[in-house]
Amino acid sequence: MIRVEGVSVDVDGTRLLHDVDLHVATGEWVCVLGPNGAGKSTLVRALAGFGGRGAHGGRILLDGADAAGLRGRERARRLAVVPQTPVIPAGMGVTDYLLLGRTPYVPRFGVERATDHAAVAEVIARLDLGDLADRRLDSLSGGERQRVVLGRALVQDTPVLVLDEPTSALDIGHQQEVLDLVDELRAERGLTVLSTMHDLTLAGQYADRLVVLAAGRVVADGPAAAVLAPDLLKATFGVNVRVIADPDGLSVLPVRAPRPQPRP
Amino acid sequence: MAATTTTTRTLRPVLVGVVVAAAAICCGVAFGPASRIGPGAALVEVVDRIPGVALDSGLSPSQAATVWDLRLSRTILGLLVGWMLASAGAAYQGVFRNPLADPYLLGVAAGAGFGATLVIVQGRVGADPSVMVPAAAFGGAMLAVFVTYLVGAAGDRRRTPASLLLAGVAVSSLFTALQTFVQQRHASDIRLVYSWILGRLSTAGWGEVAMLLPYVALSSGVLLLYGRTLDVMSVGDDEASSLGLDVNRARFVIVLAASLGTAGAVGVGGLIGFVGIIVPHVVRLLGAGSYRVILPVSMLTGGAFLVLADLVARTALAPAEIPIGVVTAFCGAPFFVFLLRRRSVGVAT
Repeated sequence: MIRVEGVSVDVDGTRLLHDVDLHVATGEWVCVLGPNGAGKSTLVRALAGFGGRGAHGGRILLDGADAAGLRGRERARRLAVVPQTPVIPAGMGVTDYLLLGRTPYVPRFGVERATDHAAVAEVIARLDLGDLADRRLDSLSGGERQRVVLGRALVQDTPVLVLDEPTSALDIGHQQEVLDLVDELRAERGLTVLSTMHDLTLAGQYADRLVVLAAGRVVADGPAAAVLAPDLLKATFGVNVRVIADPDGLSVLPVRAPRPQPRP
Repeated sequence: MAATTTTTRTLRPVLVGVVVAAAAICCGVAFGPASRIGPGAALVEVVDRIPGVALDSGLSPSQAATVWDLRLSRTILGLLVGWMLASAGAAYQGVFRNPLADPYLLGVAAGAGFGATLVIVQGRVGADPSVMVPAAAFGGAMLAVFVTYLVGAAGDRRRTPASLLLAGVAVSSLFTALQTFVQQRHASDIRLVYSWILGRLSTAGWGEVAMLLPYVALSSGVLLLYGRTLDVMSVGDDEASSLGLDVNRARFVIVLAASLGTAGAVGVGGLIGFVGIIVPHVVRLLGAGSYRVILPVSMLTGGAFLVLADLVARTALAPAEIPIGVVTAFCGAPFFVFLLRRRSVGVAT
């Protein structure tokens, strides 16, 4: 569904992605990991089609079509993005915000039609947003806001969902809630999901496959059991971890490096 | 069902705006410094001119001409200028996601001031100043916006709102400096230049209305078409483009339309401040969230506001006139302070 072939991105003369290859099969959830500055957000931006236009080599195929050749609206019908820090327009109501997700379907100077309102109503029902529908965006809590932003992406009705750090602003309970929701929707709608994530344990529990970026290059690509290895994580994140396997999956536990013993 | 609510939500505020604008027009026609014309008679006189209506206002032909050619034309001109400045302000605020944006942001005012000053100091050339000054102001305004776009779009990165705003600041300073230089070289004309800068709606007949109307019609038409686009742009450039919008093109078209109309309004009305900032914010404070409501209601209430401001300008110290820019600033400045003190201004920053 998503095929990234040899993509390099230069921004202001600095190469942020080096010849990245990445493949996400239809219905698969792939999670991109990597330390700050590894190029995760750059990859998301390249997929979403904004920023660095003309600055990358290689190509990105969405469902077989070269993304560079797609008009904005066509791309927006194939791929929806949940940004890391969404811009929340003050004063806008939740329902109006969700309707923005229909932009790729609303004629350029037209108005939303019955199908657009129906799509919004369906997402409101599915994500339990009924109580929020008449609220203003700026009155929502962080968790509610994240569900609404996810809702806008779903209203876009795309086969591919790209989530940039979907849990970074949420507490532990809401993190699980959002990721469970994404997973359920993936099953129901046959969505292909590509996310970036900081929490290695959560990434391992939810994604089918993990891809590790370091300094703009792919350094690992495989199932959690292969990628979440102390040596690899030490090399890319510079972190000491213990990986604990139990029936619920892998847990990555940071441990403090042994300190040199003070001399007596 | 949802579709009907959207329509009602748009329609009701627009109808209120129509009533407010109509009331302001009535006030503008009914009152004036010519005390021997009664308010009722003046309104009857205007209604009498509607084809198919025959009423007797009891006014003499010269009084009737005063009402029709002076008061009504000036009222309509005020309506158009306020309409244009308020909607352009709303559009600028939307496009730049900046609550303090006004239609003069990209150099329209400085460019128009330079153009008008050039013509005013060359007044001895002999051409009709009532045509030449608006034309030069219009030309200067469009030139300034053009330069701003050229500068703001330079460099290898894409045009960001911030780079355009900074370019606007630079271009404004440049044109203001040029204008000041020309003005100082022709000190004898300072009073004329100043009276233009402070804004005035003095008319003799319908010439200015005819001059401005095409720009207002074109600009308003485009802006109203882009109402939904402005809503989409409120989530920022990146997200708007991920929703399939060509953000740079939309911004260019909206800024061009708003600047074209503003240049026309500035040409005939001078640099009337505050209308473009205040009116859209009042409309937002009253609860409008979508640009599909903010734009039309700003047009109507902006027009009404300027008609009433002009009424004050020409009657408060009659027979002398207060520059209308002074009146709008007098109402506007306190409101501006109030706006700044509010914690949440209705535009994302």
